[in-house]
Amino acid sequence: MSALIGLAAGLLLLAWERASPGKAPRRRQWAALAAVAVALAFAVLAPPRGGGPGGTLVFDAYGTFFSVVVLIVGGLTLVTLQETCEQLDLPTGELYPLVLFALFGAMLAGMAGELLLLAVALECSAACARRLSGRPWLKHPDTAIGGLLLAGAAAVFAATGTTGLAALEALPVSDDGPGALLLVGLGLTVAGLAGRAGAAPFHLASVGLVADAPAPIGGMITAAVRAAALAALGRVLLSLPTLAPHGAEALWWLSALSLLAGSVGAVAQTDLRRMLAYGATANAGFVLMALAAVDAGGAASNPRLSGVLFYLLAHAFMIVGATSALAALARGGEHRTTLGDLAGLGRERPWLSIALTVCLLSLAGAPLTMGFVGRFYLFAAAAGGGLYGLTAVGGVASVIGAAVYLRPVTWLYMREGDTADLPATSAGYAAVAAACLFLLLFGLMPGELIARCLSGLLSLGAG
Amino acid sequence: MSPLLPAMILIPLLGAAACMARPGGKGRYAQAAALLNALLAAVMVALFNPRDPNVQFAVSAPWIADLGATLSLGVDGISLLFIAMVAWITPAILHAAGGRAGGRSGRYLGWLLALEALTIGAFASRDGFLFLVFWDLQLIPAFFLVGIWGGEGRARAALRYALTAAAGSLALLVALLAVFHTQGGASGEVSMLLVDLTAAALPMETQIIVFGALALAFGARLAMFPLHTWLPSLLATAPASAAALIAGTTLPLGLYGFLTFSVALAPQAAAAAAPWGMGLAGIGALHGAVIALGQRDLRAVVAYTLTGQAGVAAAGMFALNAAGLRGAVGVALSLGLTTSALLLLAGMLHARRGVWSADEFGGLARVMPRFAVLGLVITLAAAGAPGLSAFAGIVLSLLGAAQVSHAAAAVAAASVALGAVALMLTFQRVMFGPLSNWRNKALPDLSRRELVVMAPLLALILLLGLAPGPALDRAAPAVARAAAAVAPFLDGWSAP
Repeated sequence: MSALIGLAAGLLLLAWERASPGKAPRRRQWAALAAVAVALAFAVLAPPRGGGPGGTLVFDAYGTFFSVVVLIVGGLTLVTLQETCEQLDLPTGELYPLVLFALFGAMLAGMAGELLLLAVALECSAACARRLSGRPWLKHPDTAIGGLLLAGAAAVFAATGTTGLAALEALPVSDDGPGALLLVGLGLTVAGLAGRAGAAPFHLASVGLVADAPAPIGGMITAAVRAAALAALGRVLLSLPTLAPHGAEALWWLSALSLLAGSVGAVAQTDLRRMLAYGATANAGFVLMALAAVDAGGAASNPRLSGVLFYLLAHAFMIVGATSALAALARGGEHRTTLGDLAGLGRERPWLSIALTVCLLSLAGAPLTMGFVGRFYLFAAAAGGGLYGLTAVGGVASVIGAAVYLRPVTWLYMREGDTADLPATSAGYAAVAAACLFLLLFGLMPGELIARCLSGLLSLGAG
Repeated sequence: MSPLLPAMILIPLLGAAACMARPGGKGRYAQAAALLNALLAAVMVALFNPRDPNVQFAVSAPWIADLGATLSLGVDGISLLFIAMVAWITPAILHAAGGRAGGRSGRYLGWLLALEALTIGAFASRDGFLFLVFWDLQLIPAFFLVGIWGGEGRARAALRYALTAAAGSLALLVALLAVFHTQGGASGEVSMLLVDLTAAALPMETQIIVFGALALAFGARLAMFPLHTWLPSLLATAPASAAALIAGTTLPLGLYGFLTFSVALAPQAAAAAAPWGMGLAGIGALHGAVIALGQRDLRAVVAYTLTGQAGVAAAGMFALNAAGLRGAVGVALSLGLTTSALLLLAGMLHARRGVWSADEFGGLARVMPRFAVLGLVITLAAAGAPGLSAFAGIVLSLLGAAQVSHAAAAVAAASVALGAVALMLTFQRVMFGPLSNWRNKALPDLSRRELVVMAPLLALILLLGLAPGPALDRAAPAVARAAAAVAPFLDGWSAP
């Protein structure tokens, strides 16, 4: 329901843009925000139901939880987007429909119980993401990843005659395991989802997409569009318990590669948008690390995987918080997101700096933040599954990550810089303040949220 | 349910918040919070029942049920002593740093208070997860103290320290997860409480992972060879008062971790690793003392004698018998006191002349007689002279080590002697000889304020030196428990 509200509002805004191009952008911002707020209210208040027609869409607690994540990201992004684009002299006309369509696709992907729909939903949000970051709709390496997903769905269909997750799980298992074509199809699907999530070795397409876009757009793509693929991967693995272990080895390698490529890539960056983009690859690696520990028992025997949901929400707050803070620095047509632009900010804008520091510390996994609890769960899942080697790789990536995310903090507080013509205040302040509040609140008292994540996870086994 | 421990964590945290709330403020509340905490520590020491081997002043509240984490605080004899030490040196350090004469801002004092609170929290944690949280958080004040107020290369030094510490934290996380994972198989109930974690008898393979990871984490904090390199670089950059509190809290915390976690969680692996640990401790002790001999920078002398003495403490600890373990606690307590005192004294010289090199001074005893007397007592205490704080701990550590390995004990004893030579040589360079540098001719002696700073430290050093019994006896039950945990696995290593 909430996804449909997003879609309808996006269409209306698109019609509005066609009727009167470029007028009253603030009003459009408010309209989009209102749509997200109504959708969020529906997602939170409406009780989760069972499957939709033929199991193509599943309105379970898992999908609802992820819809909430997406809508929070969307709401915080919409708060800052207009002002940042004004500072950067970018037109905002078709921005709002695109943002809403991207959110719609992401929510749909979190609820898709069918591989073909999953591919289409992810492609919908990814295409909007490409457009939003000023890239071509089609001619981009990112498009090829969508091809992997479609090919995977086709192969699965050719092997079994269905692409529905419930139908696939219900297939009789022969003694010598699943057929080669089915495995190829599933492998392509897993690879495509990992690619959509920005995992290595597909990460360069994703980094290139995010790194040069305005900070709020980059944040939304990372925290909603990329995260949707991770949520979908979790659903696919846990809905197909008999097939999931066959993909574990591939996930092991994808995770290890992402952890190392992401964190090592981030070390060398001086622009924070690019740094966060590489960091998102490492974060995808952390989630994949936990998913690689999935065993044949389905959701009920993998309770630690609820950490995936927790971490996706945590990551959403951290990334959107950090990018909102960065968005507040944009002025005079320039992004101003390099390390040098942070110098002296700790003195000039103490509250903004504290908020950005909280987000960065959470990304580094410091305690009392959601990042710490989430990371703890992911490590516990991987170690619990006996993946000690991968856990060690995750440990190395964490230490490198600490270096990555503490470096901007040293620039904030330990160097002097030119902070003239900083905007006095900005909508970004509100977004980053809200993100920080939740990071600390759920970092200190995560109990209730963990219970929600667990019930979200267990709803996968129920349907 | 005793409110004492939560109060001792919350009071400095509130003081820190009050100091930081006003960026231009001078931090008037800092001193009040620290003094109140020192008073509470005195109350706690007075009320502590030394004959009761159980955890005292225990408080517990549910926290994250799914992880089995609880907000569980309490002290045994060892953590009692360390908490009291931290609570008693903090007011002196704050007094040195704050006020008009100290010249540090309210924020600086706030970070110092935060460091105190988080260290006390780590010592008081009776829950593995809570300990991990405090242990990790404890890095953040140190990171900012060094990075913002440090000398040249401060951002780099802060980052290096934070990374060493982050690696250690991660090792601690891995160790806890390895223990955690063995729980909850049949019943599904998990608990991070220390008593429950230690109750599980782990298989030897897991114990090796746990002990190795913990050794990385705690060895780095204890500045054990070869994980000691962050300490000299940190002390060379940090402001004297921050360096005093960081060194005074970090090294004891490392030792405490070994005694409380490593030995209890992985006794069999600890016993197996003891010869190796003893060897490393001996090398570290000698290495620190020898390098200290060649140093001219006052802070470097302190830093390397410190790593040397940490080696002596480690040698006593890896003896894994009652004498050695008690000695290790004594050395660590004394380290906290003498290191802070020495660094504060060096800071006072630096405040007068702006230099750290011993060669810049000479003959100061003539112009600064009070400083010379005070300096002599504290240097002697750090060197391990009888009747002063380090003596009992060093003797017990060496005795404990000698019971298992004469060679290691001899090496450790030699390092104590060399460390003493390094300290006394430095003292001689600064205090005696001709007053040749004209800049030193008119240096003022200790002011009343500086005497107030040093008085409590001096009193504690004398108290621990003249009557070590009451202090070390309080640690005895906890030490005995640790020794009993490993005793079945020692097999000829630690004959009584």
